[in-house]
Amino acid sequence: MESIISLEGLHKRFGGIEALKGISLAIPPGITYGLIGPNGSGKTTLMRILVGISKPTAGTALVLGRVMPDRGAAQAIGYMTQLEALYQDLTVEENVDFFARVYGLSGPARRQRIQEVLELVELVSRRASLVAELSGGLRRRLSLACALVHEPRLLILDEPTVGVDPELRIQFWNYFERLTRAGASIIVSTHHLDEAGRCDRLGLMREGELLIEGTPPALREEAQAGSLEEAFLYFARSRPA
Amino acid sequence: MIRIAALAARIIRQFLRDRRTLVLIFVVPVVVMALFSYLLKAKAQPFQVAVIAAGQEDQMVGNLLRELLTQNANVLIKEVAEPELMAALKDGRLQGAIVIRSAGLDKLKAGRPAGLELFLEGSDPMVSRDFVRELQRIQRPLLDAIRGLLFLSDADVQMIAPPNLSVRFLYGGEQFTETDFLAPMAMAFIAFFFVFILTGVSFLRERTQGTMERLMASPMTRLEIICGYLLGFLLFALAQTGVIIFFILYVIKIHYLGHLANILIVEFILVIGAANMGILFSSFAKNEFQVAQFVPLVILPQVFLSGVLWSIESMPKILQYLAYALPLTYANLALRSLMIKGFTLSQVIPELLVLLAFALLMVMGSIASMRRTLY
Repeated sequence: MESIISLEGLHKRFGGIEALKGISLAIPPGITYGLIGPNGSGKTTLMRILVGISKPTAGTALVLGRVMPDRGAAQAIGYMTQLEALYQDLTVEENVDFFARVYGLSGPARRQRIQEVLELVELVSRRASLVAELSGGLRRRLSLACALVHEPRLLILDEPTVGVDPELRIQFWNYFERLTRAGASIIVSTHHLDEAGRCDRLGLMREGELLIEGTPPALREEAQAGSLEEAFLYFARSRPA
Repeated sequence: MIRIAALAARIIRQFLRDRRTLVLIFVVPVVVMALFSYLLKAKAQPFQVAVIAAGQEDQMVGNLLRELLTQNANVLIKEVAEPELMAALKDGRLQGAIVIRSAGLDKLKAGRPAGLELFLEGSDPMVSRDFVRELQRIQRPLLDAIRGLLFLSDADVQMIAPPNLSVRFLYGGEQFTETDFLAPMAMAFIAFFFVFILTGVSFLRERTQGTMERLMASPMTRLEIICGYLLGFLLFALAQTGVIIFFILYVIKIHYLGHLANILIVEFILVIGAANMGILFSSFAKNEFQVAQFVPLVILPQVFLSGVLWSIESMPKILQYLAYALPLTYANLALRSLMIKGFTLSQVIPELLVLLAFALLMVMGSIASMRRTLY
């Protein structure tokens, strides 16, 4: 099947700093792809290029068959960042409703879709609460709902579980699984190695480079390691940047 | 269109939910304008002054001056003897004193000038200035009266009455007060100020809380975002102007000529510029406090230079150039022409064009700033 994302020699420079140093990668559709790497390794920069809000300095990023940045791809992409990106003075439902309208949903279809995503993230009973009154975990769930409301085929999730307690993290990964089973593709970055194990494929990033990528078992095997953690330590040492 | 409407509806909803901001928009301007008109209408406290004749021969001129002051100026004449003068100024019994020396009739007839010394408490220059102005006003009648005294004592010469002065106004009139003059400008200033600050802060919030990033990743274009913002803010700005117009016309009851719709048109164009200026400047701010720091930078110079407090013609040349570079100057010119002179809209087209150009410039600036913050 054709790749949902295909990167060719992707470079991004901010002033004198090279945030991405030539990334090439193809990601098949319908899977959860994990980007692993320390802070400052270029994960966020890469994802901002994928959603079309940052321009690569060199190289091409093909997303859903379009050369990014391309506004035409936006309708099919859902984006969630480390920030909650919610309006504090609006209610749960008003937040989802606003983003549904931004993506052009209208009429009964919009109302039905809002109901569906609120059910998915289990916020139906809190739909009339102001965001300012919600706990951190509930806000994260709402933030995900806002990214899902227009039924994107591709989800770009930049550390969606940062600062989230272990129980909610497991919940999030259950949502992701349900979404990929329904046909969506997910690109997710994370610090948590236990989450990495739930991805179909993994890419290990460091200092703007993609060190290695593959399925978790393949990576373990190549490193001859018992766990992913050991495998990552192995790759980090064997390929000095 | 549906996206722009969604954004405008969201901004309106957020406004309606924020009571404090609503008070700020609708109540504060009314209170400030009420305070202003009350202050401008209030009569100043009488100036407490002593008229001291230094010698016996100076009494006649002293009495004359006392009489003229009580008749023509807002003063309270106090009796203080010359030795106590300084003490009286110090302890606040007096705000000023006039000492008359060598004003005997025979000396004056011999052509020697009378000596008038003016003492002022002087800690509030406004108070002193007002009194000096009043003194200057009665200088002429005083001179005439003294001359009259001299001539009368010569018995056969008649005193010449001061000429009658009749005043006619091209615009305004005697019944026009300072409030009438200031109201159009206050309106422009209030709209500009609130729209600039509120768009600045809400755009900043949009960026810092991450929703701007989400909007930029959506199908929404930068122009749509700005249009949505404008639509939401215009509604409140025009409602605010409506409240202010109602207040100044029916409560303060200013004198006013012209059509309400014309005022709204000027405000409409001004607000487009102000909103986009807020968006543009918010991209240079990291937090709300830094947005507030733009007030002395953007707002205060416009208060001083846009012809509200000092007329532009009376400014030094270099400040005049600056004044004509500020949008509020043109809003003031246009509103003053419309409201006080009763001009039609076609007579203020130059001012409107400048305001439109400013609005356009700010729209381009705000669009460029959104690119800058994201790429």
